[in-house]
Amino acid sequence: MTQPLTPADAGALHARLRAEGKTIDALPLVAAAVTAARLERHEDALALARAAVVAEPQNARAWALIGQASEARGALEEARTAYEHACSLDGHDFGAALAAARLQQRTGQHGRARALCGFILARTSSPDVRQQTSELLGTLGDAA
Amino acid sequence: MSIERTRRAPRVPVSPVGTPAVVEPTITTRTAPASGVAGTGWSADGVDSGPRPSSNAGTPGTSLPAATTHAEVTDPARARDAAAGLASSSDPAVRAVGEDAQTALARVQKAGQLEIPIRLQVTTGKNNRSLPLDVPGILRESAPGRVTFYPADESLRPFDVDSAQAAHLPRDVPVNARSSKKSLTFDEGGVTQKASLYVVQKAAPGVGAQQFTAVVDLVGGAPHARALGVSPPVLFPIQGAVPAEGTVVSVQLTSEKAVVSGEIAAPGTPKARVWEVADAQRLDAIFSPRALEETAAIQQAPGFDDAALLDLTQKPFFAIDNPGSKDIDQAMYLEKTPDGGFVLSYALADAAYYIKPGLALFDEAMERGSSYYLPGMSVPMLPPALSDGVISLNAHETHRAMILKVRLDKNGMVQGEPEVQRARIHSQAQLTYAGVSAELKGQGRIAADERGHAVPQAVREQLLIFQELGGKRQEQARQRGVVEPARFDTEIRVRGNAFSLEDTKADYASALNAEMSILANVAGAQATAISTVIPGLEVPGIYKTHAQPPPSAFRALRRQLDVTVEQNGMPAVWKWQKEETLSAYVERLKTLPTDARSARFSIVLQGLTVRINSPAQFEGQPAIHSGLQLSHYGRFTAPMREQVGVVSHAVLFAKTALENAVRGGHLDIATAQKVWPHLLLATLVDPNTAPDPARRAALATFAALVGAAPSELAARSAAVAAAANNGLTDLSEAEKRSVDGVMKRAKDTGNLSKQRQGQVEGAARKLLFDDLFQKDLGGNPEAGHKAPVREGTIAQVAPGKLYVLLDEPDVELRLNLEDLQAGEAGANYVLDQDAAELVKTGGEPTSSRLLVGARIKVKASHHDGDRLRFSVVR
Repeated sequence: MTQPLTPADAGALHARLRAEGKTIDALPLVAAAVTAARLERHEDALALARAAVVAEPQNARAWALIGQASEARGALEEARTAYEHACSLDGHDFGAALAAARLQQRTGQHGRARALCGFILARTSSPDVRQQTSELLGTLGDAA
Repeated sequence: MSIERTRRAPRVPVSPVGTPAVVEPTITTRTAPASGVAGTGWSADGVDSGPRPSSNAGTPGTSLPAATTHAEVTDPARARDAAAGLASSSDPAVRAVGEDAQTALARVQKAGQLEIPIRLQVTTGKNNRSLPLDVPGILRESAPGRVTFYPADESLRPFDVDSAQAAHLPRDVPVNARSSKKSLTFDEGGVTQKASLYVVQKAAPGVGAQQFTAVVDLVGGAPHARALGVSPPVLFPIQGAVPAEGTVVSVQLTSEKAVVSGEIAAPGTPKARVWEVADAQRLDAIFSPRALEETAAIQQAPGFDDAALLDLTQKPFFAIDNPGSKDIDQAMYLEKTPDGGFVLSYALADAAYYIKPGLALFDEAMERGSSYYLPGMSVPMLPPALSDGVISLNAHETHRAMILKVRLDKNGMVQGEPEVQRARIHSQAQLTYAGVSAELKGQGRIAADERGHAVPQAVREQLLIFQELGGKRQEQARQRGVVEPARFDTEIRVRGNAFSLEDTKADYASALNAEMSILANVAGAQATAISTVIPGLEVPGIYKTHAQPPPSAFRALRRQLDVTVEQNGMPAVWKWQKEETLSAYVERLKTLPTDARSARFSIVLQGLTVRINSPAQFEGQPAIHSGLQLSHYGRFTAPMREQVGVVSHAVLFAKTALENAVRGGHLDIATAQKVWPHLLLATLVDPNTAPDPARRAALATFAALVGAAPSELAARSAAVAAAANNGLTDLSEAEKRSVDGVMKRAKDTGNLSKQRQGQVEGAARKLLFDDLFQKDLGGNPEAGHKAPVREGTIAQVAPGKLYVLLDEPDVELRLNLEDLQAGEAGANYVLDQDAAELVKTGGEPTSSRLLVGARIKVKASHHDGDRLRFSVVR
């Protein structure tokens, strides 16, 4: 449980599951992880979301939940990787993208954070997301 | 050899189709979870207790996919099943993940808080969607004492219904399961669960027509005609000759049986595939009998001789559209003034006169939102007898029109306020963009218009004014800072037995025409929003708005452009210079290319400059349209193709009528202000819904002002004033809600239909790609290793996504994370270099770069049953 689960790990575990002829429905696990996250039961949310990505490695929502739970636990690298994976799978989840950019900034990847902010600004029409992204860009040397 | 497309799975065999019976109205049932339900103690949650469902452990012998059918089910058992499935793995690592999940579930559940309130999306193959309102299908005895409902949509799982209550329902004929929009909670092993309720009805809803287009579909092994584009889908057993499954046919209904009256498209042909897209998008091509009756009545009395109309039939109006267009929304007439200025009279089909609240035509147009366009066919918002006939501004015929009259100075700057008139016109030519482009560029004179008539000299003279004014408006647009990347007018067309992408070569005239259209939409929006005649008039409108990107987005764009130019080794002249407007930069980019490579690079950079814009939206308040750099912008120019146009016209005509009454001295301002909400109500809401005859009469009096001829204006204004002084009070709250509701619905349906058209175009692109690249896979969906390598330029990058502009054919491909990973599950692709580069993280390191503007090689990898997939050739 304490070891991070990377996208490569999830893919490998999923492959083994498939080799056994098993197909697991990820949706109820994602739904349960959402409930756990809402209750701020981050360990439980993480366990459920990890199970969901083993069942379905392409599930963007599950990766975003792993990011959220990992960040809450202070596991910033795992959180960043998970958020990055979530926004690669779902280009419309600007919440995950903004969270990824914030973690990139916190983990010293300023260039990538700035690139992701530029992407978000070009795609979102949400004034709130734009505002938050602009503020983050401001901390990354976005000179006027 | 074509790529094999996904076919519908055959249904379980059923007994011969029987005759529909009159049955008890309904029974209640529920969608069955995949794991089955063995619950007890059902309790009602706002609804009457339903019968306990029989378990659905799947139907033996079926080949139906086991897609889940419950979208809003709180089902901890499913989560437990999933976790248990992982925990039972023979692989220790997988097992550990499953056991952790089981422990977590137990902990959350112990807290008594395992609610799953999110809306689960039903995953059916590649598409996510929620449960439909209606699920047509058939009922049959699947086992002794067991009645199963088989949905016509093969992606939905069959479910059992209570056999006792189903006893009265007909077997083996089309029935419909309609969502009650209610949920039921029940107890399963001490855990509260929730399920959607469906009600099986005696028959599927009718299509509302005796003749319609359908596809031959085997349901339960029996041939049925499934009405195309109808939502919910409707099935009829076929009587008589049965064409092959998948054939698109025209059908005549006789006693609830479908008789095939003609074949429209053979299975697998482009025409059939387009119908398939229309069907999948639920584009309803069938109008109700009531709407068709109303259409016939309109044809009988089209109102062309209305005394209220300004007679402009002698003016040489003309229209420009695509070749073969039948629904002509717009025509124009231009004049030069002695001081070098212009007067544009832009005529728009008077749809609001015909499509009024209270009519089925109005309701159905509101439901559709707009017409939809697919390769080689369209699904119109209005019956073709109207949109191609009575209402359309067809050349060489007299028709009603809204005229938006705009005066401009010699530089093309708008002068004064626009005028709004209701007129009768007789367009003298229906021209095409290509024909007008050729004539204006001196590349060929138009021999005859689309209807085979010679083009009058007066129209040719008009074209010169059109060219002059259009050019000046384009210059105005540049001065406003409008960014105009190079236009590539292409269209997906059906050629022979395949789809092809064709250059419409219409750029010049269509760009000029766009300027006229913009002028008309601005005029309409301003005329709606601003009243100098009746101060303080609050006029609801529908405006097209386009939010300005924030300054930080422009700064990010500048960095992205800088990096793209530098990293590709291009000279600094390609950069967006300081102090240079974005519009000027884009114009300069068009002049920089010196070879094919730099021409592609220019297109890529131009593309980046417009990608910072978010999509335009319909809103209820005027706001900036940043794409056009305009403060007021409406959508008046497609009233037969967009319901927004119908409603916008109706409001503007009402306002204009009231202003005319005040201008003419027939109504004072105070009375006009008092009357206005009532006139609006009479305009937008069916007057027959008014609570009493006196109120209906008053509303009719107000409504009559809108259609007043000049000679009638004084009398009708007097009647309005009398009604106003006869104890007229403010609108009731219910009336206000009705008015607001119509405006909101029109706005929302406008936004929704735009999204829908985007989906239609996306589906059409898939058809195009299947055909454009079918040789690449040699007819074998998995034969990517043999596919030829194609070259292109990286047009843009996004997290996990790469967009490639191919050299040949001239299309843009999108590669998703899965395509980029090429089996390397741990690899991810993140943005770097100010969003100019996609960088691989995880997986094996690579030296190849994915840089915007760089050359790249790709090839078709496989067809996943939904669309063709591509991979990068490293």
